[in-house]
Amino acid sequence: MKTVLRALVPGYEGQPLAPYLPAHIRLALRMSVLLAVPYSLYMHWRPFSLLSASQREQVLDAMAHSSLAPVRGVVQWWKLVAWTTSCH
Amino acid sequence: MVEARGLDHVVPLINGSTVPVDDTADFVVVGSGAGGGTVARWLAEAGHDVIIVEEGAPPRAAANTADAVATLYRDGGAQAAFGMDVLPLLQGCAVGGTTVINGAIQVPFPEAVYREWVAADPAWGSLLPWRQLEQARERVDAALNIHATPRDLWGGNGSAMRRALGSEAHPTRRNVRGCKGSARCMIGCPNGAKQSTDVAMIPAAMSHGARVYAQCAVQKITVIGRRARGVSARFSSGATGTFHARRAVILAAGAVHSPWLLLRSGVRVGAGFTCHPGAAMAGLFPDAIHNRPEASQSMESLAYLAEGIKFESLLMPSALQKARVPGVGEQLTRRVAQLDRVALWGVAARAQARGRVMRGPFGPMVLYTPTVADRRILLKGLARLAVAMFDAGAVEVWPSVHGAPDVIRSREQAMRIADLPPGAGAIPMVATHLFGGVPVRERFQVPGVDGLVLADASLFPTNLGVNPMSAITAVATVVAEAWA
Repeated sequence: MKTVLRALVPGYEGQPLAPYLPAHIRLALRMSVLLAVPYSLYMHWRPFSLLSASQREQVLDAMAHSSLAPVRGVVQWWKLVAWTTSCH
Repeated sequence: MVEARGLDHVVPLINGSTVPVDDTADFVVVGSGAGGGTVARWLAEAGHDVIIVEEGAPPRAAANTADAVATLYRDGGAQAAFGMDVLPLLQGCAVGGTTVINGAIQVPFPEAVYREWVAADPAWGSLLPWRQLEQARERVDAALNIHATPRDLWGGNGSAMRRALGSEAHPTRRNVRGCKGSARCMIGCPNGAKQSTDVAMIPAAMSHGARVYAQCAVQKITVIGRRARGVSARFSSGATGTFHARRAVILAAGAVHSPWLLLRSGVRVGAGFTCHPGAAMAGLFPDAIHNRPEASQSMESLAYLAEGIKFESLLMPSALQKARVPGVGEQLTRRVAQLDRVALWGVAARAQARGRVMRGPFGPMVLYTPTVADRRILLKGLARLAVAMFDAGAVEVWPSVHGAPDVIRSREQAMRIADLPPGAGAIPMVATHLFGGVPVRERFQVPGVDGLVLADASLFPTNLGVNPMSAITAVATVVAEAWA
């Protein structure tokens, strides 16, 4: 989760799976990261964690502009999680 | 009995319990927000014995946005309606309910909407007479110190909206006392200036003997022989709470949880859910605009209500503001660095779609999808806002609408937003104004159960098209008068 959020918001330091979130929301957040896998395999033939910083950005940018609304929504959700769990 | 420190005041209440609690009063009020806090105050002041049961804790000054979201928002801000769009439903979960985290905007109950209600069901005319509703609003306006935002709190954001929309925009009327323009309404006022119900209503109720049980989630309404007798609840510690009502149980847990509690208690409702979805438009200005005190939402426009459109300026804590910035990675970082030059304005649509509140595996589940017509209204509103941003001097507009460029730089591009395909998921929406559509009969009782009363937006049959706090407090006042 942190790998994805650090690619989305460089310098991210926080606790994305905050304990105050209900368990099912934490599970959904954890599972949502799997969405990045098919995009990274399709675009760069490697899992997300093995991509360079610029390749990770390309993957997330493609997801943010996906024709699939749920994928765009997930990126927006990650962004909200990233800012609310790290920025004051 | 413990003392729990609020934002700038001390409220004696029972904040959680580790031992079972059993208590009896004339009225058991479920929820302490706009509806519950108001009805509790007026009933207590009329001499009745009142218990307030609230799932959340007393609000405290949040250290940062994450802390505020964790302690003040339901489900840590992650509650959503599901359908073709995933629609976040932002509600408060604290003593004071959503009034703790709203933008403090007070718009009187629109008379045109009231006329619609009466035309659709003439019983509203006698249940909720317009004259009584107006008198109730005046009573609440005085209690909440509602007045127009002064010019020194318009800030750069609100002033830019005023400049662009001219006489179509006006300063918001807000429930504040001594607002310092810290723009933190949505994470709990750090100065105790916002007259949320935990500040303006509940302490007054308590001074007349009302008892508040906080961190106590109601599980079920006890109905015996077609009459509501009380509620069973559970404290966050796991201890049980049993509250008996001599006269009535007043449900004011909001447009999601009130229908859900009715469903759990065997009353078949939930099909009338609707909401007032909104979207935001960001604009980059050549110079810093956030350089002075500013109210969170200082300016609004009601000029297009007939078209189902409402505009308002938005100044949120930076973490929430940043989430609206387009882009990822380094590009996002570069744009976020310009945040002091970014104005954020919102549009809300009087959506006609109907959804449903259901019993889900983790609590209430809301199914709701805005119609194509609802999305068209939002796109039309966003296009107008984008044009207005350029009129106010913006050099770029960041629409965040699927199908539009991330950045647009001309009025012509801005106008084309209205013609984008209104497909599902095209517009990132959020809803904070929720309505339940639960039918009520005389004295606002739920059909089929005597002494089970609604006093929140769950009884509103339609979307108001405006911020509902003023309407909810006015209706709750009429409910209290019906039972006083």
